[in-house]
Amino acid sequence: MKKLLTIMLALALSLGMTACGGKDSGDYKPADVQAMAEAGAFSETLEELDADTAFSALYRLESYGLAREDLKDCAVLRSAGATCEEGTVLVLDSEAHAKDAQKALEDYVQGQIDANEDYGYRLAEVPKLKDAYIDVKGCTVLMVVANDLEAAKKAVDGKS
Amino acid sequence: MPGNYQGKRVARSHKVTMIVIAAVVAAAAAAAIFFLKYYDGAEKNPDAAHIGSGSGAGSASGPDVSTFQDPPKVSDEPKAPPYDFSQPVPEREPVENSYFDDAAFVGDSRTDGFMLYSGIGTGENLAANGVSIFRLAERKSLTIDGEKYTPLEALALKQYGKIYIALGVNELGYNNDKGYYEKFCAAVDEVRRVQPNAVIYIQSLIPVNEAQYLAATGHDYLTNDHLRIYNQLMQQVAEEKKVAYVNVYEAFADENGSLPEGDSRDGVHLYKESCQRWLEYLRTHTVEFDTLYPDGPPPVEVPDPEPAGPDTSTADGSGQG
Repeated sequence: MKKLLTIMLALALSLGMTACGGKDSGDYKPADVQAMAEAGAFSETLEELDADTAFSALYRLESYGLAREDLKDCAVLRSAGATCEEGTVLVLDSEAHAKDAQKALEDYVQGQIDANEDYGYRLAEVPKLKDAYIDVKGCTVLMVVANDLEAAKKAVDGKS
Repeated sequence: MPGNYQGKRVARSHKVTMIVIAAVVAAAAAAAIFFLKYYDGAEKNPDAAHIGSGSGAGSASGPDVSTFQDPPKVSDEPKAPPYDFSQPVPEREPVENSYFDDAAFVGDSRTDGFMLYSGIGTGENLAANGVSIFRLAERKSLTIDGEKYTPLEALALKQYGKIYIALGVNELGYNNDKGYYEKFCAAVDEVRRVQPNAVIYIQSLIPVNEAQYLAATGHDYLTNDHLRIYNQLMQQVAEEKKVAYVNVYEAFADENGSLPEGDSRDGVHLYKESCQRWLEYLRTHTVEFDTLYPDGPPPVEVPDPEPAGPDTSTADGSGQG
């Protein structure tokens, strides 16, 4: 019985590892963000942001129950302000946390839509925000606000 | 004998005369010493002599200035002149980024970009895209812990040591400089009301690149001429309200008073490297609360509830920053 429990635990851990970033897991990769940029998904050269800034100042992930150490890796390219374009891959430590991060990104995009519409600000960018693509695979989250969303998706599909 | 007797009398008389003369000379000498001592002391310290005469202190042999009470002690260090609020904060040694740990940044999308790209890594971001001084107290543009707040409401949630205000780009299309000035004064009053112990910094507007902005948006009402008028108005606000004015403009304006093309894509929002330059300027232009207000916090003025509103007659109302 004890042996059986040990085997089951090892199996569960193994499956968990695969789900959270195994080499062939099919999850999104930080490199996908650069791939989207190179595929022409964005209309301008975007600025790179570090993980600390992305976690707190940008997406405010702590407000969604996440701790900084829950964010294992990430890549963020974002407009300096001329447009609302943005490409992001977040790598979390669990699927549950990836779902939390997904909610944070959805609220982030909705907040931008509300603010832009309230102030009549960058209204030409609002359709891009409304078409934002946010998806979870395993422990990873992808978000794209692009000038050419199809090019972005194609770049990511080609790599995953 | 009588002759002898008379001779003795004459001799005795001379002796007495000599003693009297000696006594007179001694008395005169004593009087002279006394006079000289008193006169000397009075000349050297007339105040002490005056105080001494008034206090009745001193020995029976004459006034002794060494026993007089000293006048009130005056600090040897010269008192610093009052801070000149009409001038921009001067350059000084850079502070560490931790200086901004207790700072809040109120502004528009330019400030939002600053908080994300400058590398500041600390401070409270109370910026909202598209916000203007005319709507600072109206639009609940910030979400904190699920609640909606205006920037001024959010500012009142906790106490800060420094407040940085950078507003004006979204107002450039308005034809209402008086309203801008009055609204800015009211905003500073409100900030001081909720943050009475904070250093309030008004940041001058960083110039725009008119050609880039025109190309990006098709609008031509964003001009550096008007921007410079706003900067003058903000400097007047700083002087009137006794808050610090930080002239960030000078760190970006080229020889034509324009934002160089290399700083922005759309002529308004700054690239990452430019935001880092902005931070460097703030780090080297700081001032302490005690320097501004050596006699304590300035009085809080109750803001005018309804200063003149915006006149949007020359603008399409859309925001830029």
